Amino acid sequence: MRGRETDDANVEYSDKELVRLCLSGQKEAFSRLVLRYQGILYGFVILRVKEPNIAEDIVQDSFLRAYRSLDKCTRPEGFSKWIFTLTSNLCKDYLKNPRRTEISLDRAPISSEPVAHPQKRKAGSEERFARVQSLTETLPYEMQIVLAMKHQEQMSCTEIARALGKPVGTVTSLLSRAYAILREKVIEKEREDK
Amino acid sequence: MTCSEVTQRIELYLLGEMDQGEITLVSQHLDKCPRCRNQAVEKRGKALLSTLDNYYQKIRPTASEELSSRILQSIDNEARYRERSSRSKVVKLWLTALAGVAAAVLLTVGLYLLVGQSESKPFEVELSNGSFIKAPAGSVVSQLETNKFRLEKGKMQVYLKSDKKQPAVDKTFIQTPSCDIKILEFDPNNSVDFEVDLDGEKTTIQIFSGVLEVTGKQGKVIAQRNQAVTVSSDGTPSVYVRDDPRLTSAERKARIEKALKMLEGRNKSVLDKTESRVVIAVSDLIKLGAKEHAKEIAELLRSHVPIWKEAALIALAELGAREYAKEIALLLTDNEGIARSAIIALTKLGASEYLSKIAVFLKSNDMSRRAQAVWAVGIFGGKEYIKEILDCLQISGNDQETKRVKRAASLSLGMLGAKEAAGQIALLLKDESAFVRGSAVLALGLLDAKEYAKEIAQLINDASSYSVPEGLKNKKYKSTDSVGSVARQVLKEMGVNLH
Repeated sequence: MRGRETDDANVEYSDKELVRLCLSGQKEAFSRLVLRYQGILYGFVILRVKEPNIAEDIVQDSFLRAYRSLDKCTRPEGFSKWIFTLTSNLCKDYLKNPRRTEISLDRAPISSEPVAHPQKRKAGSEERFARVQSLTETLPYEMQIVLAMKHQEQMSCTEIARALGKPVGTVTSLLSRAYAILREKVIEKEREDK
Repeated sequence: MTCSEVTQRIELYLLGEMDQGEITLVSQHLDKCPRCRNQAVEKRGKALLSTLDNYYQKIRPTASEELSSRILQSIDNEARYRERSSRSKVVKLWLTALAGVAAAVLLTVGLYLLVGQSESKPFEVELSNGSFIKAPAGSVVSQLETNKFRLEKGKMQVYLKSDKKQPAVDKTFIQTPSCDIKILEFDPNNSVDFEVDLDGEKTTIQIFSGVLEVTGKQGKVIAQRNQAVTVSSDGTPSVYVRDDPRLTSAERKARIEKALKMLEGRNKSVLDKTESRVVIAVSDLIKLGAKEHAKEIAELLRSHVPIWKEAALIALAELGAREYAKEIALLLTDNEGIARSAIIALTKLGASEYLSKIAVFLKSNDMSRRAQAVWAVGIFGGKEYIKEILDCLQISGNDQETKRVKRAASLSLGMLGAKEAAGQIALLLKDESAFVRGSAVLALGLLDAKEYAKEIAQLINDASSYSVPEGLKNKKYKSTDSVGSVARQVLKEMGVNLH
């Protein structure tokens, strides 16, 4: 539901600046981090836990924990990696013991079921989906984040660079390396299949 | 540039993510190399990009706006909780709610002016129903008369919950050096929630719920939830989008117009993207607090696209557009997901006149609608359905949805004061699901079921995550993060000594 159309302003601050602002007492800064990462984290989580409600709970829990321990994020410029690690741990906890983390944050009955989720995608594209998934999952977090910002959040490389506080060149090179890996494996495999 | 270099960079080229020099080099190569044109561009580059676009679109959250408001709400609660618990000396004035007296009067104060002009202590007044008015140390707040406060310096937070439907306060509630703030309306859930911040040059009022009128020397504005008002030093008030103070009224208007245009054009285009663009437009209208355009949003309720209907339901509820309750109620007979959203929307809007229509779902075989209905009955105080809700506690099944029904049932029974249910609810204290256990504790707390204190006490070290559901009227147990902490708070309220 979110795309660049609604969020141009969101990329004005880098993660580092937002973390600092937040630590200095401006909690609004954190909501910008939420808007920036919630979609990406959700994508990351749904692939692991499969269940949309649980995925939403985990994402919510990640942000809440991140907010509580933001002062422990020693490298504010690495916020994205930090919250990915945190989220990944929550997913692992959940998968290890679904009961305990089951409803990390009680879903108030005031909310609605998402209308579609990966399980409902059309049969046939299933295989390709699984292939892309298994490949992207093996990429370093940095690449996963940049890919998701580009293709899920539809951000430009300049916006991504600003958000991550990296030079544009670093972002394009990360993307280009990610494409190289995926290109070989996704596209070549598909051509073989044909 | 060689063929392999072109292949290596083809995606960035297609995305336009290169500098001009490189773009020229790649273009020149493609012009003279048909093999690359065919192989690199079509077969590889475009194929990979579209595969990735499709993949990432599939894993994005479908109700992203809702997810973010949930997350932000929990962060907000956490921040308030921290702020609250970090205060040392709290001056407590006991206020009592005047429920049934003249609609104009919201609160009456038991003790007057203990606080005065003190800067060193925080100011805090709390009502038994969870309402509060607070100001951190360093702020200067004084009470001028019943229901009238003056903020001279610093910040203050106002959260009022009313026992009456839509009470109005027809005089200034808060006075600051640059403006007067009047409460015009409560939200459909009967709350008004805002913060006032004087930072020397300007006054900022952030509104989380309710409708306020702010009058400065140079004019007055009306603003509502999700909006903020700033009053400049010369006394000119202007309305902004909350959380985005850089958006001026004019910019807000432009964004609203853009969103409305998207809604208008929805049937003209057959592009795939139109479907989600309309949803984006609707979420933008929520974000912008555009209640004045509820009519345009409500038209989507009659559309043929399910996600549009659903988006409209969420938006109308979020914007507090109570006047569409009747139309929303018509969707109770629509398909599962939509009916469920309709119940949620009616609950949020406080449309208790549809209680009997919602109560039909108390016997539904679809557990998600059933859970919503059970919750709605509790919120609306439908005591006549206690028996049906008791039956919901009996249903068997171990899936998430069944648990949701049980959780909602115990909380509803708690809200309805159904003492006779305490025994059955107490059985849920041993449920394997944390959210069922936590809700059972909470429900027993609401019922003040002291006879189960011992069983509750066994959970005080239960560290499983749990937080009190949004919308639960009682704010006493608001800031909790585990079953154990709810249990401790409940026991404290019951007056049970843990040692």
